[in-house]
Amino acid sequence: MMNIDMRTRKSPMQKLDGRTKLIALSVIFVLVLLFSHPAYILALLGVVMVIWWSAKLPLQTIKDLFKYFLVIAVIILVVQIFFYPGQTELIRLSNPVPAIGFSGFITLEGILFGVAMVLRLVVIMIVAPLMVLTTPLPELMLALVKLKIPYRFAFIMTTALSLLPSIQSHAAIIQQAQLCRGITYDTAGKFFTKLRASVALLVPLILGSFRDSQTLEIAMSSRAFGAPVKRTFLLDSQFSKIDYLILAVTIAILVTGIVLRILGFGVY
Amino acid sequence: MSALVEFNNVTYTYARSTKPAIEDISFSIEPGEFVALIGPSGAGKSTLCYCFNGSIPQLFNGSMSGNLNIAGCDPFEDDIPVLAQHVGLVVQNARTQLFNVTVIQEVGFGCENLGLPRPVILERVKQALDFVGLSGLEEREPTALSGGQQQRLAIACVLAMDPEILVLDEPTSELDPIGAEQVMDVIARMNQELGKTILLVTHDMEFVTKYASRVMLLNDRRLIMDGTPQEIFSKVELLAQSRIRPPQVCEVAEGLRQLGYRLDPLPVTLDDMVQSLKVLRHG
Ligand SMILES: Nc1ncnc2c1ncn2[C@@H]1O[C@H](COP(=O)(O)OP(=O)(O)O)[C@@H](O)[C@H]1O
Ligand SMILES: [Mg+2]
Repeated sequence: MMNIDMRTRKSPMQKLDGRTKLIALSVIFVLVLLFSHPAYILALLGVVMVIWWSAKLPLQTIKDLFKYFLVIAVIILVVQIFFYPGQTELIRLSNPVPAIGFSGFITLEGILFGVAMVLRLVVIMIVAPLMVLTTPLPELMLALVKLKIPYRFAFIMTTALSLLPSIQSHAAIIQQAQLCRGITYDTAGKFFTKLRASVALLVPLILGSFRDSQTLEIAMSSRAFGAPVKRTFLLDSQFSKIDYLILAVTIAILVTGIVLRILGFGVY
Repeated sequence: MSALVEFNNVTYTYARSTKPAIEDISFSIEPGEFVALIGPSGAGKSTLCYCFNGSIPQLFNGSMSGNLNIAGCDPFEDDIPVLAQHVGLVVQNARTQLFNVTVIQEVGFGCENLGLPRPVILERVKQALDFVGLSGLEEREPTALSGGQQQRLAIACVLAMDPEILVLDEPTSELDPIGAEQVMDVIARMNQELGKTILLVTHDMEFVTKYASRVMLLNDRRLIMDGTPQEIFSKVELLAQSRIRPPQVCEVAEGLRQLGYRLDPLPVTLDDMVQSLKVLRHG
């Protein structure tokens, strides 16, 4: 018979209800914004890494993500270290340069703030794929709907996610076709050559997805999308004991976090 | 009893177009008919298909005149989900109409939207997949299927909603011969076994003579011929004007006619031809 039961998977993360994951990961998101002390954020990063490991996801994915992030991280760090208006002077470099807002010395606050900022982004960058990589899109949509997000919105969001790979492969095909006609994407090329090539890629991509989106709209309404009745969901998912346990722990952590923050911990 | 589908003087002009894409179209279709819609590309065939379930005028900003009756519904008034229960529209490119992650989700999508009870949906999905020969692929990704399988899946998706009319826009144009045969077989069986009314857009005249009971020829936005395959394919010159090549059997038969052979009605399939020649020979 047809298998609609989604609870036949390997990693513990995949057995959880989508709602549990959405809620738990949102709490991490909130906590990471709540605290500004690098030590606290580092602790959260540890938690996230443990979750990643327990989800049996490859570390390579994280490495790939950070190849691009490294440059941004360095920029953020430099800007914060040099320009954060702190008090605790650590190293004096020069006289103040008011024209560019540089005080002339590096402060402890600047370093802490820069590091915290980078760590925050790291956590957020790991949390988002955690959700998507451990949750099939229909389950993600079901979770959103069960959390009272309107179906139409949930559908469009998850469908957009599911179309990403096809847009990527479409881009690859266009690039191939353009290579044949002499438009290059040579990384060593001049800035304007690259810019022109990117425009040459984007135009057919956007036109193509526009055309597709109209056919998609027709195809969707032809299958009664948006009918004014209560929709049935073939897929279903219930909270299990583990879901309740994790939700309880999550809420406890959130409350603890808020209390700590009110008492003045986790900031500097 | 009135016809299942009626078009009366229907004209549609897309937004930002100066001339209509279809003009002054009138015809009616009775329940159970198998109608082939032929014509050169750009003639307005897809546009006409969109009129069947209200996609035109409701999803486009163009202007429309005339009046229509589609299984008792009015595409000007009734919402597309209402029309979709009477008309299953399979649009020209099968890939773009598959957007779910599994075959079972894909086929269930329409019935889910209609809010049918879960057991009913499961039963309908099973029957539709059986009918198009895709049982066993329930958990597969639609985009991972072959072109012919995707096309049959797209048909199953609308079939599951149990419409009385199916409109299929060039379902075989991108398929290899075997894939195309399989798709055509599904369409023919929907007509014969399930009694569905079919409107099939195709460029394959062999399929037309093999399956259709009626042919409509659209050229340059107008309906210029409407009749049985015999009637249509004997008008060799009109067909040539529309850049349509009749099936080879018809060309041969028409040539024989002009040589004085009395072939009446015009044979449109090889079997017809053999039969007619036998009759001629034996008196
Ligand atoms: N979305 C659209 N907007 C404007 N014009 C269109 C649109 N779709 C089709 N047309 C025009 O309408 C005419 C008929 O097109 P179509 O119905 O797709 O023909 P066919 O399916 O027979 O090839 C063509 O001239 C085409 O350029
Ligand atoms: Mg067309």
